[in-house]
Amino acid sequence: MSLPKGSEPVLKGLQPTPEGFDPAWHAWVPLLLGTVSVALLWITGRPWGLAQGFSLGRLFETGNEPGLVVQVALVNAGIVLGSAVTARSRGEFRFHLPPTVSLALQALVGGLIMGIGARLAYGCNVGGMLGGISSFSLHGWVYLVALSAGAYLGVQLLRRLYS
Amino acid sequence: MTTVAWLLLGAAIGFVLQSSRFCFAAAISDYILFRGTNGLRFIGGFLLITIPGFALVQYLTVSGGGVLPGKIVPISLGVLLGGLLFGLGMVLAGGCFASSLVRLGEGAGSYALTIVGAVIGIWLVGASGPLQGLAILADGLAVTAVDSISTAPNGGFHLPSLLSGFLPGQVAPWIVGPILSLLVVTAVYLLLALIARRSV
Amino acid sequence: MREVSAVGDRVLDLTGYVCPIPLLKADKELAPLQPGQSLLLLTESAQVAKNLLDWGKKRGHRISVRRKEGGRWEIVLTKRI
Repeated sequence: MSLPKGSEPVLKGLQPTPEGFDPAWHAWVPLLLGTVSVALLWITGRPWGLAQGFSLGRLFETGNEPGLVVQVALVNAGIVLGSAVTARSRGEFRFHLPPTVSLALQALVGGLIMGIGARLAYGCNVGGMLGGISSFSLHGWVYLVALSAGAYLGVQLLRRLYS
Repeated sequence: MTTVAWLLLGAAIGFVLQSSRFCFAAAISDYILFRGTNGLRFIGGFLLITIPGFALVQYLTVSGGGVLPGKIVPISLGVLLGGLLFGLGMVLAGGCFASSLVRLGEGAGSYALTIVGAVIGIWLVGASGPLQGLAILADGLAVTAVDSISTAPNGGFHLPSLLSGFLPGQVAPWIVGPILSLLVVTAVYLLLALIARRSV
Repeated sequence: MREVSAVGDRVLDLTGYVCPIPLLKADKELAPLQPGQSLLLLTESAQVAKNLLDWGKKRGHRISVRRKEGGRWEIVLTKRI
């Protein structure tokens, strides 16, 4: 049986294999992202974080720095763009929607819960938790434990629903 | 930093995350589901870089007379409850904020909904939102460090500051603090990896 | 009928599902298969493909990932003996 013309062999070198980069590259990823967070701490006084970029309400609160929201929102927008350009360049971009309405709702509700959680916990997993631990704030460890517990609950819920 | 610089930084992060297929939520859920540790290695590796890096930045800033930089906040009910909710929401949505942005860039429309939900959620308990009371309550139930044991601006428990109470000199807390943190990170990872190896 | 290049004893189309649901579904689909039988998994997310790869490897199955045109992925998982 001949292979249809869509198939390609797994690519080598800088092109990622399905595992991501060639495994030798894996070490670079935490190095690069960690360095980004350190650099941001140096430049802005805050670790890399994302939740501030979604805090659109802050833009309308008086006495707050809209600059922070804009800065983080720009980085967030950049992430989408960088991912899109990268994916497109490798033929990995594909538009698709949730297959059912209930999964669409799950995505929305999941985001909602994350948003509430991020506000309550003073940050998301990257900024509040990893940034907190990195900043030597003991709250970061509390966040880690709590997040793990929440994830565990979520997994049990998904198990009940899908397996 | 200019607008373009922030965008480019984001683009670089997006490139790295998309290429590596790293997903924070998957890192956690993989461990829960099948004791997969690949993702946890990324997280541990990240902390191995940031812990010494942040120590250096904090030390240089503070000893130069600046305000202590970083994410240092009290241990509140908000952190506990918020962390729990974030973990739950992240698994339901199939990604944290960063992963959602990356997947959205790959064309996964589901994450557009997730991001919309996140914006709404943040607004709901924010200063201009209807459920703001919940945040105020959660913030209020907190353990804060008194000024004498913490140099953090808002009462967080900052490890080097805590250590400076009983370590001699200016520099020692900034060495011991990171070492302790690194030890804990390593210990947690090794424990999880050991459990994972046992489970095959 | 979508063109696929690989064959499997069963096909599971995971298009549109976001992780970790594909893992749960694949696990469920794999359960009744005999050792040596294979499952063909289809997805449109590189991250899901990687996730399935990690899972398959950890569980000890033989697994291969193929990149297809248009952002599609085919994962063939052969159940371990």
